[in-house]
Amino acid sequence: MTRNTALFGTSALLDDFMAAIHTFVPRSQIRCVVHPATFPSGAGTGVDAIVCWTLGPFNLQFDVEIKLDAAAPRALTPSSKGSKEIIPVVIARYLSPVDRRRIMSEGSSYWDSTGNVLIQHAEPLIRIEREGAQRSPEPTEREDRLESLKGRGAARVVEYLLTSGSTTGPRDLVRSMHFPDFDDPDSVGVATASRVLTLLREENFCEPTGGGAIVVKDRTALARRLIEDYSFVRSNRAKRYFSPMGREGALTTLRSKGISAAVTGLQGAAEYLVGKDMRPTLPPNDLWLYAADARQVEQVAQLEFAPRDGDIYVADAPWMFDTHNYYPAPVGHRAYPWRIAFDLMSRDGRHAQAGEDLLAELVRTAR
Amino acid sequence: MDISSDYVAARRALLDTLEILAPHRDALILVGAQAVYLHAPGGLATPAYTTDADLAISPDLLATEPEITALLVARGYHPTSNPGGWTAPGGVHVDLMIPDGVLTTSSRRRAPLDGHDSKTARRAAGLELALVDHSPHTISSLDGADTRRITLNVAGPAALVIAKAVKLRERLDAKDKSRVIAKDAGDLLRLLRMCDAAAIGVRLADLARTTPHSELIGSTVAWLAGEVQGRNSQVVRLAVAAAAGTERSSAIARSMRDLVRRLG
Repeated sequence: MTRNTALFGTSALLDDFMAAIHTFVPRSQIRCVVHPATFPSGAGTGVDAIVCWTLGPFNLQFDVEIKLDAAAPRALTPSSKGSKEIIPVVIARYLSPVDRRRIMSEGSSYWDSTGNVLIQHAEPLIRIEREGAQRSPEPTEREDRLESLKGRGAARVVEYLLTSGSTTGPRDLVRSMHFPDFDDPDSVGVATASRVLTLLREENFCEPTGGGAIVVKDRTALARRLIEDYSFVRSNRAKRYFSPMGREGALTTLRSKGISAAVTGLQGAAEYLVGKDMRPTLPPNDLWLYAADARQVEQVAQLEFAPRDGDIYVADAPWMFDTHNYYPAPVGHRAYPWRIAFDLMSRDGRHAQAGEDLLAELVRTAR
Repeated sequence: MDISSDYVAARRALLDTLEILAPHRDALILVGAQAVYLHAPGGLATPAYTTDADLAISPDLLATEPEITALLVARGYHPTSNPGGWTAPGGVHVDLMIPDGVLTTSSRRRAPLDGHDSKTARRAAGLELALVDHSPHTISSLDGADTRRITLNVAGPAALVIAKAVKLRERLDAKDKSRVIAKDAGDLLRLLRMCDAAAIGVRLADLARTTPHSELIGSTVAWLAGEVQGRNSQVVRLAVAAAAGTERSSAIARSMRDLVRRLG
């Protein structure tokens, strides 16, 4: 957070605020601006400026708190609660919806230069409300920071890191993964990868390499961190179905017809372990699929939407089947084992345990 | 697909029997579980499994010689106490059956065949459609070391659905319930799931129009439809047991009812 009227930009922001107030109530007068250096003794702390506003017979006073860096929402606290004449107001280049709700709930007012305005006062009764931008027009680095790994992109970055163990950086990672929507190394793909890597570095999941390669410190911990946010069903928007053909019949039919669908979950884990001459810890009791074309899978496997009791989950995931542009590519219509592990871990009970078991096996063999 | 050693042995015995009965192969049609699994290897999470080999005989196509019993006995097969029942040298049970509906009415179980011993084969209800609904398949061994491949007519899914349903009905209606086997309901569900129940329904309608078995088809489908719609359906209960906990019973019940409805 940066808050100081001495900083560049503060006066311009204040000028714009005053102009806006005058636009809303043309007959009012904005009489004076008092900067902290000339504050009367006893002025509220945290107030960056005082703006006097004459509205008919009422002489009101804005206690202005100026936020130059709007990306510190948790630090935003209006400095003074409104007395009869005082209207506490927070002004900034941009205030997020969360910031605005919070300020409003505290009984304060706000204004930002994108046009978001709420001026509220009890006596005289004043309520001026306008809506401006809902997203920051100039996101700062901090604002752009990833706070969650729940997205599909984040899961793909983590999957890559679990598989490879390291990368030299976001560009290298994106080139290696060949994300189809990230073909251009300068596109959002690099930005996404960079944000994920930044978060993982900040949360201490990478070895300290002095700015060198990004090396995963502990794959188990990384997978567990992912599933704090990630969910196979929610992150991939998987839908739940019933098939009169049964799970086994549906899968056999999809495979016999060459439909691009990769198993994950218990079925994926079982197939992976059997392929390694190992015994699955749990028999599958449901079927989770990534589909190149979910509608095609619905038709071929005769899937009926069953959000409450279906035992087949299908996630539409065409990106997984672009073998030129996805690393690691599915092997034999099965998702890659690290993904199977964290997909399972993202559920609870027996699924989570099977995921932990598979993860332990993968970590063991990765050494 | 997991393959049990019993199933491997049953397939071996089937191939042995087909070799021995090569002179009569044109009159033989594979029915029973081995036929079901050729059409529907999946359909349930429990592995395909059988311990025997079932062959239907078309009496019209059967030559009067060589005599079947003599052929089998000469190769070490032993007749069981039931007509048509044979134990192969490896211990696998082989059944030779004639569809009841193509024989003259009789209360006896043995099926008379010109030129053959009276205990060679037995009457069996529900196999009539196998004589008209079949197609040649290559039967191969399930044992990698055995390279034999024999072409044989195999009953079609429509014929097998009727055969399984008749068998279930017969055994559920009998006083002695010990012969009721969950696997039969499981096999029926496999067929309906893997062979497109609606297509089977179309085929049955066609067979009802073009063969003398419309009564058999109509009554069997009607019985099955009524049975599985009931809250206490025995067929559903057996199918649930056949799935051995790999699927929720509600899913099996819904699946069975939905698919049987598609039969028409």
